[in-house]
Amino acid sequence: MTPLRRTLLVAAVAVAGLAAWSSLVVIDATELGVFTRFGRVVGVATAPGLRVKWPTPLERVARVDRRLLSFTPVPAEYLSEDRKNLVVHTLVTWRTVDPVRYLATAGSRAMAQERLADIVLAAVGSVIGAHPSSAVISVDGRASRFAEVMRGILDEARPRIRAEYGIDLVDVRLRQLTLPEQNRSNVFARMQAERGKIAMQYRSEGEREYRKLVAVADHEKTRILAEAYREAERLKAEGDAHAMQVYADAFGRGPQFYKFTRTLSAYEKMLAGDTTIFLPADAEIFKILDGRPAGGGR
Amino acid sequence: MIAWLRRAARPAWMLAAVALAVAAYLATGVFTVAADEQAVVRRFGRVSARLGPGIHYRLPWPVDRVDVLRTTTVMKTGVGFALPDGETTSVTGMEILTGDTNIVSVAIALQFVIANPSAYLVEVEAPAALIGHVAESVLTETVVGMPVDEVLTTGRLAVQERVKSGTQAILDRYVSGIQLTSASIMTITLDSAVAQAFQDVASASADRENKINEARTYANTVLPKARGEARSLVLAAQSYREQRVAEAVGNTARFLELLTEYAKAPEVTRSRLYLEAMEKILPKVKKYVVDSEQGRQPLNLRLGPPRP
Repeated sequence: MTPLRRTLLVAAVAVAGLAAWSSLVVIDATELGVFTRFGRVVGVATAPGLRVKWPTPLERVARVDRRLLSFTPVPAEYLSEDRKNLVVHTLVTWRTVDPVRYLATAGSRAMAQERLADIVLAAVGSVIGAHPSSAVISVDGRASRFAEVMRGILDEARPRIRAEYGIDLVDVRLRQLTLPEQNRSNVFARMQAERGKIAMQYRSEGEREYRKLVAVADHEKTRILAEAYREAERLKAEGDAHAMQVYADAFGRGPQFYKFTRTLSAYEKMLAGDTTIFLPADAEIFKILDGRPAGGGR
Repeated sequence: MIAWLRRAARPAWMLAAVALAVAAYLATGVFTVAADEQAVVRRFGRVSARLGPGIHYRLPWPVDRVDVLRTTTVMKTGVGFALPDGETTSVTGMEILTGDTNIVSVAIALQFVIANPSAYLVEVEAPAALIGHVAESVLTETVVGMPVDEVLTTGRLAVQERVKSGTQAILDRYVSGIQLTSASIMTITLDSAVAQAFQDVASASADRENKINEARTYANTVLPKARGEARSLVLAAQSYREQRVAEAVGNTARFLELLTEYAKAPEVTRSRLYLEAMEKILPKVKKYVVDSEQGRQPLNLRLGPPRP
């Protein structure tokens, strides 16, 4: 073997080796592969695995990420139907479904996201502009109207993006909703006023409740005492009546005698120490002195 | 002979070198998986195996590729603040509009584990970073439908729960392989411009409670007192009744006894009673005895000035 022939052989082996190496392509589970022969698309690999192609200068492979990708477009300010300014921060998730179309139109991820951002922001603007702010911000609406608005944004943009860029717009989510800087001070002032009102309401409620409870208690107290008074008077009257009954029963047995004894005891009380009485000499007490019989009636 | 040996020995030496190189190349396929890890093997880009802890072998590059992930370790991320390893940075939260157009700042800490390592690796780009954004959106969606009072008080748990379940549902739809284990609100703060006003509402609420309690206390002292008074009033009346009856019985008992006596001997008893009474009365009083019939005009024997 001459040295020249040997060199040529080595070179040939090396070229053959490189060609063989470049004709084997591994498509990862995270990728889609687009095979192009002199710039013309000849095949798409949608499943991962080992692929064989013509060696590199003849056939090339372009890899496109097939994973779910996300990005956050710059916050944008919109006007709702009822002319309220809202600053919307969005989250866009997307994935490539048609790599050929994607490569032909968007080409790179940065470019694709730029286009997506433009479309999404415009769509968000038109959807928000078509709804009053209460469709998004409401106390009673809960998530239903909100989800509707979000679906509106998605439905509007999705088919267009699919057809144009080979991109599936998986989700557009309202990441954050804020108010423009110049509106914030108004909101804070309003919040403060609202709180002041609520605080005042609480305090007056407390005062009212206090008065009510105290009045109820006082009323109850009066009622209890009145009832007790009534009961007490009833008991007393009952006692008096019963006592009278007893007296009447007893004295009824000898009314004349009662009159007599009662008169005597009345005298005992009436005629106290500083009383002066004139007794006729023929008073009953002296009758014995007279020799007349005592106790013969008055 | 020697020349042949020398010619044979050279390839043998080379062969050994090549064999060693091949062995070294093949040895790069040995890897270990720790107890808290799982490994995902991709053969020519296709996920081919999921391996648990232990020592394993794979075919070396470029055939197999292996990714080892910690699957039992709980990882953290946050909404409304960056959560670095130190985790001591002051939490300010993310500004959100409530349903009644109030502005609050909420910070939520999320914990998650990798439930499906192959999906985690293959389906979503940077899943851990996506969690925060998705949770932000769910939080916004939740709070924008709630009044501020609910967010600040009773709705806290509901917010946490909805952020967790809502975020999980979206991550599942994205086939992210992530399982959220918890979502907990770290802080809900208010702008310093309005914090004072909210504080005042809280103290007003406390004032209201105090006032009501005060009234209850009043009722609780006044009513038992009134009941006690009422009771003693009734008791006094009861004893009055009994006393009256007892008196009546007592008084009449004496009368009845006298009456029995009187019935037996009316004249004697009558005289006796009369005299007894006179006996009691007359010593106490000043008395003038005047003659009867003509004695209508009493003689005033009293000396000195008349008594007042």
